Amino acid sequence: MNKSSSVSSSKPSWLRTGYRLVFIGLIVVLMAATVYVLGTSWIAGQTTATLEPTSDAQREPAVPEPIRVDAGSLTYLDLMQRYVADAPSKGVERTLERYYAQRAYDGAPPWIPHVVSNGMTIGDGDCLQCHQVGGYAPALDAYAPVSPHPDLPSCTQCHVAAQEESVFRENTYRPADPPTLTGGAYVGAPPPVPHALQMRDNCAACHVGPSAPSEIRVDHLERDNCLQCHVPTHDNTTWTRPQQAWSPESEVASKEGRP
Amino acid sequence: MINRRQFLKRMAGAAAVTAATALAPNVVFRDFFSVPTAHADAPDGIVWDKAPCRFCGVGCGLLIGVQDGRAVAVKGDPDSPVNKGLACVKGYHSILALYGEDRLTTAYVRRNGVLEPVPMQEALDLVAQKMQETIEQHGKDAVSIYGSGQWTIPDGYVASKLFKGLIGTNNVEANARLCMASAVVGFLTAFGLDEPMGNYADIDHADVFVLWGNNMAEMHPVLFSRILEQRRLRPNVKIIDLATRTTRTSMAADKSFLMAPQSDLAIANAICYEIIRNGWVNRRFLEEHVVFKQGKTNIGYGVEDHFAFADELTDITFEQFMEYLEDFTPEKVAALSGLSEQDIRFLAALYGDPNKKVTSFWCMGVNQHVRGTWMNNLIYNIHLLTGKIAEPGNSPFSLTGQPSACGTVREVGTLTHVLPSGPVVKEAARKKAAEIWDVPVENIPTKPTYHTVEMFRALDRGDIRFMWIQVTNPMVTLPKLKRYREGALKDDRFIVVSDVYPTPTTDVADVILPSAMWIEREGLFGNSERRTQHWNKMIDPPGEAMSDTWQLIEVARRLGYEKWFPWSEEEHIQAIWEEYRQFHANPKHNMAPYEELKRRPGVMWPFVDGSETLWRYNAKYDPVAAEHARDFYFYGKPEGKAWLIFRPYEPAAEEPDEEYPFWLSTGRVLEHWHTGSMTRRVGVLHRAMPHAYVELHPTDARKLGIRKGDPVKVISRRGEVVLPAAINERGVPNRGNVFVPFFDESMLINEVTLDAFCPLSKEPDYKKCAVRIERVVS
Repeated sequence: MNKSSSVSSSKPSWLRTGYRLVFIGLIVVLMAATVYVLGTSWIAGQTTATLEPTSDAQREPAVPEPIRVDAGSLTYLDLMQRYVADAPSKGVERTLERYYAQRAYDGAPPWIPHVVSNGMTIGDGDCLQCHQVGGYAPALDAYAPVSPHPDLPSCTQCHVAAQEESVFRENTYRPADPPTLTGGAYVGAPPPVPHALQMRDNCAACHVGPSAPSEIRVDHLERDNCLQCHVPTHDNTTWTRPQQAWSPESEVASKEGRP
Repeated sequence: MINRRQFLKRMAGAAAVTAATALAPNVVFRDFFSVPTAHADAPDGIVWDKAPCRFCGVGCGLLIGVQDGRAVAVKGDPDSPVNKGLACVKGYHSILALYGEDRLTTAYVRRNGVLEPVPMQEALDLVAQKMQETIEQHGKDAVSIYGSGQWTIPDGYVASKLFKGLIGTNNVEANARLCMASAVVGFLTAFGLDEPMGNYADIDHADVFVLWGNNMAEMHPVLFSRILEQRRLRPNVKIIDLATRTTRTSMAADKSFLMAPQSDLAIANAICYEIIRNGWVNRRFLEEHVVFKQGKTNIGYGVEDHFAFADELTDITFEQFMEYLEDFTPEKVAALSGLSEQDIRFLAALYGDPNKKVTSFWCMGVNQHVRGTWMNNLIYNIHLLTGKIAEPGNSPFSLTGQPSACGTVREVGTLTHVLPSGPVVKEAARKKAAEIWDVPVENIPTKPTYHTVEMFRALDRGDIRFMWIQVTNPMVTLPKLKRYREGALKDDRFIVVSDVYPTPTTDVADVILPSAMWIEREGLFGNSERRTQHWNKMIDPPGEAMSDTWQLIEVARRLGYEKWFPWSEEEHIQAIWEEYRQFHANPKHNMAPYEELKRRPGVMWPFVDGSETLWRYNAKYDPVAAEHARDFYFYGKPEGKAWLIFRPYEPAAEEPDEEYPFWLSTGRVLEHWHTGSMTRRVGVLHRAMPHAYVELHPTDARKLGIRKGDPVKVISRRGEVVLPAAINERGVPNRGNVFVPFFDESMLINEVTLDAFCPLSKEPDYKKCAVRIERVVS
C-alpha cells in the first residue's frame, strides 16, 4: 500500500485522474473510429456488383453491352515486345496466305493446325499458355499467333483441330476475296483498316511481333492508339457538299423543317 | 392487329411512296418497311442482314454477309442480347452448310424401287393425290405429318391448320417430342403455362450455376461462355456440374459430381430433405405462392404398343411432403447415387443459402429420361422450397436443343394433343381455333391420336399409311430404330420427305421434296428464352427447292383448301404471322407485331404495351402478375399458386445386369448438330469430328483389353453397332458407363437404344439402357 501510494504521488501531472479520463476518452474515440473505418470497408468489400436488370434489358431495341469494347488496344504489348524483331529469328515466317488458308473466310475463327492433346480442355489452362502472349514453339518451328480476345477462355467453342483430312461430301462454298491491302492517301499516309474490328480489337495480336504475318507487321510500337491514325472503312461512298452552303440561318431553317 | 385489307392498303402505300420518291427525289418519305440497308457501296460488296442461327435452341443472333447472291461470311450480331456478338464454331460455319455438293435441288419419286427425278409440281401433285386416296380408303387418321423443332413458325402453323383444322386429324407430331416434351409437361404440371419464367439475363445475376446433366460447354457453348465471363468478372460465381460423365463442362466447373444414371431423382429429393432439415425453407413464399401435390407412382415405361397413362394429382400437406422425404436422407441417397453425403449437403447448402442466387440449367439429361417430367418437377420443387424463382438470377431454366422447339412446337402446338389455343380436349381451345381458322368446330377432332413413338408404331402396324416428314431425320434419331425403319419400308406405306440433303430418311422415302433452307426463305424461330426472331430471305434456294411452308400450301391448295391459304408468295409469311398472333392476343402470351420482329434482334413474349416481359410471374416485371399481387403470382394455376409435386425415385426401364453390364448414354458433340446432315457437309466440322465413337472409362477399357481406336461392338437386346473406342478424349464416362454420339449415319447407335419413354411426356430415354461391350477381333 505504501509503495503504491508513493508511486501514485510520484506520477507526472499528465497521468493524474483528470487527465486520465481525457486519455481514456481519446482512446475510446480512436477505437470507435478504427472499428467504424474497418467495419465500413469490410462491409463495402462484401457487397457485390448489382445490376438493375430492367434498365439494362428493357432498352429498346435491347442493345446489350458488347462483350468487348476496347478496339484498337494493344493488349500484352509489353510482354510481346520481348519477342519483337523485324522478322522472326527462327522458324517459318507467317504470311497472309497462310493466315487466310487457316480459316473459312476473312473473320471466321481459324482452325487449329496442330494436335490438341487434351480433348477435354476448354482453353484457359492450355491454349492460352502459348496464345496469350505468343512465343516460339519448337515442336511446330513457329511463333505462336496471339489471340486477339484472350478474355474469352472457351477456345474450343470456336477453334477446332482436324482429326483427319477427309471430306464427308464435297462443298461448293467459296468465300469472298479477303480485303486488299490499300495504301494511304499518299505515300507515307496511314492506311485505313480494311477489316471489321469485331473480335479483333487487340491490334497487337496480328500486327505486332514475330508471329504477325510479314505483310501487315508494324514497326512503330511506340504509338499505343492505333485507331488514332488508322480508321476502319465503312463504305465507298464519296461525300459531296450539300447544295446550299451552311449558314446560321440555314440551320435554323432546317430545324424548323423549312427549305 | 393487321388484317388482309390493311395489309393490301400498306402495300399500295409502299408502292405510292416508291413512285413519289422517284418524282420528288429530295423529299424523304417514312420507310414503310425497314428493308435491310443494301449497301451496294460497301467496300467489299458484302451486304449484311440479321438471322437467328440455324442450329441449337440458344438462338444466337447472327449477321450473314451476302455477296453476288451467295452467303459468304458470318458475324455474331453485337446487338443480340442472346450472344452479344459471339457465336460458336457451328454458327460461324453455318453458311457452309448451304453449299454441300449433294444438295437436293429437284424432287424425286420412287418408281419400281428406284428414286427418279421429277419436276417439283408433278411431285406435289402426287403427294396430294396419295393423301386424298389414303383418306378415302383408310380414313383421316391414316395420314400424318411429322415435323420438327427446326420447322419455322409458319411451317408448323400451316401444318397444324391443314391437318387439324381442315383435314381433321390430330396426327401432327414433331421431333421436339424426343427432346422437349418432358420440359413442357414439367412446366404445365408445376405452373400451368409452358416455357421458362426467366431469360438469359439470369446468367448476369446468378451466383451459383447448377448444371443438371448438361454439358453446356459443348451443347450450349455461347451461354457457357457467358457464364465463364460472369465468373471472370465476379469471383464469387460458382459452376457446379452434376453428370454421369466427365466433360469439358466438368473441367471448367468449380465442382463436378459424377452420379449413377437415374439417381438424379433421389439427389433432387435429398436436396429438398436437407433444405427442410436445416430450416432453409422460405416459409412465407411457400404459404403465399405454393400448394403441395403428389402424383401416381409406379407408372411404367411405355415399351409396349398402345401404352396409356393419365396422371392424377392430389393435394398433400407440407407435413406429408416432409414424411415422404424421409426416404431420401443423404445417407440413403449416397448409397444409390455415388455422391457422398457431404456432396449432397454441399449441393443443398448452395440452394439453401439465402444470400446466393441460384440458376439451374438442364436439357437432355433431365428431359430424355423415363421420369423426365418428374425430374423437371423436382428441380422446380427445390426452387419453390427456397423461393428462388422468377427473379433475376434465381431461375430454374430449361434449355432447348432445336432453334424453334419453343417457337414452333411448343407455342404453335404441333403435337397431337394441342392446338395453338390450347389442348384439343378443351372445347374452348377448339372453338377459338375454329373461329380464327374459319372452319366448322366439328372439323377439329376432340381426342389426341398418336405421340411420336406411338405414331411410328402405328405406321409399322398399318394404322397410319401416309406420313409426311419435314426437316428431320427420324431414321437416325428414333430409338430402337430397326422396328421403325422396317415399318416405314413396308408395302402400302407412303412416305414423303422434305429435306435439303440425302439422309437415311430420304432412303425410305417414296417422294423427296427439296426444301429451301434457312436464309433461302423468310422465316421465324423461337428460342429457349421466349424470344421470337425473324429473318429475311437473303439468297435464292438452289434449283427447284421450295420452303416447307410453301410446299404445305401447294399441297393444301391441291386438296381444295385454296380459300384458307390465299396468300401470295411474297406476303405469306407476314400474313401467317398476323393470323397466328391472334391465338396469343392476351397479356399472358402476346407476340410482337411483324414490324417489331423485322426491326429488332428478336423480341420476347409476352410482349405487352410495347415491352418484353423479362421475368414472368414476378409483379416487378410482369404486368399480369402485378394486377394480382405485390410480389409473385403464378397465374397459370388457380389462385396463382405454383404446384410443388412430390415425385419419388423409380428405377430406369432397363438397368445393367450380368449379360449387359454397361449403361449406355447417347448425345451430341460440339461440332455436329443433331444427325449431322448439315454440319458433316462443312469441311472444318467434319475434319474435327469425322465419325462417332464409343467412350469408355480407362479402367473398364483396360479390363476388356480395349485400346484407343480399337473397333468395339456395342450390343443390346435390340441390336448392335461397331464403333472405334475413345479413351480419355472428349469425355470420360463414369465406371460402368459408355457414351456414344448419335450424329453418325454410318454408325447408328439408335439400333441399340430402347424405346422406353416418360409416361407423362411420352419422351424417350436416350440416356439409359443396358449394353454389352466386345472388342472386335479382326
